[in-house]
Amino acid sequence: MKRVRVTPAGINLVFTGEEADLLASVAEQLSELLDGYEDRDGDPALERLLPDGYRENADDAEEFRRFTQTELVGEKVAGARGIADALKPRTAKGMASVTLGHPEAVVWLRSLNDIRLALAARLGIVDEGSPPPLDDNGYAIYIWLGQVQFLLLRAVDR
Amino acid sequence: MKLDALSADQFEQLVTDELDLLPDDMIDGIENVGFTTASRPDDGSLGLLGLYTGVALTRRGQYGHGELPDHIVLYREPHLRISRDLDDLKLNIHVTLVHEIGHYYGLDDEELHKLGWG
Repeated sequence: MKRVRVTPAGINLVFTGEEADLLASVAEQLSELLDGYEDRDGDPALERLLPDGYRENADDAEEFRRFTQTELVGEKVAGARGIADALKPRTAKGMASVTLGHPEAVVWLRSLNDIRLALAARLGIVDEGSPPPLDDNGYAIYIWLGQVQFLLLRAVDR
Repeated sequence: MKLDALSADQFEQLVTDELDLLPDDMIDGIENVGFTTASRPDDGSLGLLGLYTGVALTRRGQYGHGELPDHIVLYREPHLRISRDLDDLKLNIHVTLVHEIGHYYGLDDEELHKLGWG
């Protein structure tokens, strides 16, 4: 992430080409993971993204899931695809410059959080006390996603 | 245009324009910095034009592990108070941006003052 700034046209985010490719790729991976959610029982990332509504009762949880999940998954997939698409165009200097209106920025925040949660589940990060993961690359991406979230949130919430 | 009537949006636009006009050398080295505007500093005073918060590049250890991104905010009313007209305002915004970005690169107030940047 190069910089985030607030302009009258919206919140402008500038990524290097490399960062944009990375973020687009993890966003695509999230949408693919969610697309297959029905066939992947027990996947820790999916359990983190789509937790049971009723933890005590499997039948209630299943019913809750049936009534709410299709829509929820659809929103999450659309959010992640939106990020990946927005990052494709490049400036003359090879950067990705994206300007988001307020509603779009809120969708980005949700989606960035989904990506970060899925990655955390993969890395075994559960809470602040979790030991640093062995996967250095994955952990660096996780930290970086948190910084992007932080910058965007501060710009939305100014 | 009377400067008193300059809206938050208009100020934001001027800051956006002045950022775009900064030399590439200065902008290209920036990583993970948020730029926003506000009407006044948190204490309500008019003496502060801008504020940099973060860990300057020269004081960083292993970058990227746990540090929060840096942030630069420019205050509208203090800028309006010291500016005679629109051109003067643009110049003052420019100086504040260079000053705060200077902090990001590790320069302190005294060094920036000696160099003529506020």
